[in-house]
Amino acid sequence: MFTQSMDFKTTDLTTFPFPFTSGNYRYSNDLKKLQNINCVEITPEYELMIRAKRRLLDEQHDVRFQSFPHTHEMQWEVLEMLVDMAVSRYPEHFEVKKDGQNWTFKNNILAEEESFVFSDSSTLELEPLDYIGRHFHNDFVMMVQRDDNYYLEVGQVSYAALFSAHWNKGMSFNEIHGPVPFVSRKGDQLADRVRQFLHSIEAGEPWTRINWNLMANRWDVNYETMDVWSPKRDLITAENAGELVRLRVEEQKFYRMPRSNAILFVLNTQFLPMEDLKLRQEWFDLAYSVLQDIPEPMAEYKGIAPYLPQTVEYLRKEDEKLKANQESEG
Amino acid sequence: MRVAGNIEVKVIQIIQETEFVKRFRFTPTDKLLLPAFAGGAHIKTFLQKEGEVLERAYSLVSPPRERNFYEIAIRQDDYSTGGSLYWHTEVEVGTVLEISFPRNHFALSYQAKHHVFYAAGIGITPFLTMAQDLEEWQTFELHYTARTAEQCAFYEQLKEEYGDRCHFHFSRSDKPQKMSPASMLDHRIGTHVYFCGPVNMVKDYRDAAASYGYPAKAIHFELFSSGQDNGPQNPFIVDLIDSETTLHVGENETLLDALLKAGIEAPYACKIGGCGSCELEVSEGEVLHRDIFLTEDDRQSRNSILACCSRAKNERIAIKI
Amino acid sequence: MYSRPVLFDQSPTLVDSFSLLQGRRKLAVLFDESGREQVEALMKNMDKVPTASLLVSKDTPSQQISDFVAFQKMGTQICIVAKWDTAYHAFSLAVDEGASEEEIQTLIIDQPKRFIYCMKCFSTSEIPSNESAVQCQCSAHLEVGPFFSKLRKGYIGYPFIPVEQRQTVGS
Repeated sequence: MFTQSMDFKTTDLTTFPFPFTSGNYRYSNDLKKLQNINCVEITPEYELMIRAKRRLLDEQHDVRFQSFPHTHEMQWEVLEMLVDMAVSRYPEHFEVKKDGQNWTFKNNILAEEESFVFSDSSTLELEPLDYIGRHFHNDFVMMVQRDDNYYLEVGQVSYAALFSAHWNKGMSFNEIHGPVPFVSRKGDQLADRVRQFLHSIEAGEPWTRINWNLMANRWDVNYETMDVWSPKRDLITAENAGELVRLRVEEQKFYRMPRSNAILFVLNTQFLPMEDLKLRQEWFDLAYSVLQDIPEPMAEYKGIAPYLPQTVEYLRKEDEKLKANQESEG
Repeated sequence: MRVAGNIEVKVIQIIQETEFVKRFRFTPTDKLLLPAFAGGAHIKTFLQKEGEVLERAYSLVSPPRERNFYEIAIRQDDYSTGGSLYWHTEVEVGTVLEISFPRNHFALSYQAKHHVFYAAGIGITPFLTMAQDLEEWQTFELHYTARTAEQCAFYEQLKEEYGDRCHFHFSRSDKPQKMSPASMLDHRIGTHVYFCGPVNMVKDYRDAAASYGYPAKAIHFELFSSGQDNGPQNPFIVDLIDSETTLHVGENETLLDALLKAGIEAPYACKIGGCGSCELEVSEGEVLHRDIFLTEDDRQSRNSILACCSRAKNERIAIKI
Repeated sequence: MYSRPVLFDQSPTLVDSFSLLQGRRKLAVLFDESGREQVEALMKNMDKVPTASLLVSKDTPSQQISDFVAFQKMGTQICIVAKWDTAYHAFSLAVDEGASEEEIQTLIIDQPKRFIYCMKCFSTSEIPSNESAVQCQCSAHLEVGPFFSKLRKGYIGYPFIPVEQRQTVGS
């Protein structure tokens, strides 16, 4: 039976991509040019996350990895980029030997070594992106530009938040985000706005944005397992929300791939339990302020409506305690 | 593999294709492989000329999967603002310059059953790589006009590789054959048409295709002198209605630059006209739109300006901020 | 080619009555017996542009329909007038020949069919008319979701456990 042991949280707060900068929240695409263009990052939880990711991929492979047969060339293009990034940033952890097309890739953290012929998928047991993606804790999605839209042609997604690589395969950017009930200040459909933005991403100039959500005691919420996790959201109370509800932050990095003309989405997903917000007072204040301000349609869209009130109630009580402590100390 | 920034390259070969067209081959100075690209892609080139940087865009003409070198083909343009002239007279084997990553604003349609390329003069360049990148269920034909066979760049190569799929139209031969938009009346359903050439040629073909009933999505084009992305940088005056103040936008700055410099908290994100974050409402004056975010319909229906790249059409404009 | 359009109940090509789109130079009609009356009326009023038509039945070879579409020039508007199953078939052959949603109008004589894609067993089945939830052949209960996939040719089926069975939820 498939299990979800939620034994993971981010411990390195200095690298945790905390999403809120002000106390109210408007749905926007706050995109920035990516400063550190290398998306490979080794966190203290690297090994734990990789093991969990591989277990999820093995247990429900169809749910978490999908591709079209014609995508191998574009997958190799990404493999090359990730291998070179890993070796360049962490030469002590990753090594590659390139003898013409004969490559040997070494992951020293996991003590693994694989030899293959570059561009020849028959020399790998897995598809190129499925293979290389298992060395990094990120999710990878390739949205390929076809005419005026972007289509999901390859996806390795183990940290889904209302997503499924299986379902979303072949869908356009607008179809995936179809019923988003939000419009910008000027009344554009949000999906159109982001799609237009994707058009302006050029190779050699990667971009980034941060997305956030809450998670009720789950690693990922796929469409496939909705019957399992959906009723469990009702089990959240103001008493257990601090431990069970996690702030889920997804740092998204966008790379235009020159050959495939695809946008590669590299997603770094990190979790912080509500109770750990207290480790940084300003994070607690911002998160409390934002969460109590979320409009109902937004909560529905994010899938957090059933347990948001309990979570806010937890934060309110903690806030009272903190203030009481401050007063008694003062 | 390269991921970001510009690439330094050295010219290693120059081939005289025709009287006015030269093909330049260059390799990266750091010996690392270049990115493969998709048919229709171009690069920006940055040449140092007496303290200024000449920035121009040229279609790549080397094979899309060739990663040891890139090639571009440049016609010495009578109306050159310095770019093609400099390339033809000053650049030699050994010249070092910077180029951008390949960019592609002229990709093949994936929906099309049949592609028809219309090229005028050096507008042939993007089609050389596009013809190599077709999907197996797609076919193509090329219509290419030049003055004479001698002045027709890549004539022999095209004839040899694609034979009767190429239709050449020589306007100054003994039996002049004019290329005409009317041939678009005969293309089968499922055809996408692509135009590359001077502004007037592209405009004529676009208008004709629309009048023949081609859906907008089946019409693609690239202006062949896309060397300069920026039009004239006219200075103008902007009245800020809500802030009750007036600013001057100089010729070396954008409206957004001027707003931020004046301490106005104007919204923005991408700064290249792609995301719409910096859209502001216009209460008076006409806009010279430079963004790709607003569609033609948007421009008609919404009285707004993208501050990061668009400008006032005349000397004064009033916006709400 | 997976990203080609498919006919579904929200298709932008569905119309209640035909109108010649701007700039179109010819009308090519695919119809079945049930659409004959409508097509005859349409043809009678169509004096502006040339027309062509093909009567489609169960026995019409697919190749004949494909050839009819492939023979048309750009600037042709394709009209499909038929019961759902025939229209669906003709539509998919037309888009395989490169016709786009901007060039097709579809008039359905009976009712559009809707399909649901089960997220448990990854199979597609028909949604009985007006139902918002169905039971899949794999016995999963599915709520009809708002997303449509051209690849799966159906609406997403969100699995749920009916209220009376909730005590038995597993992990």
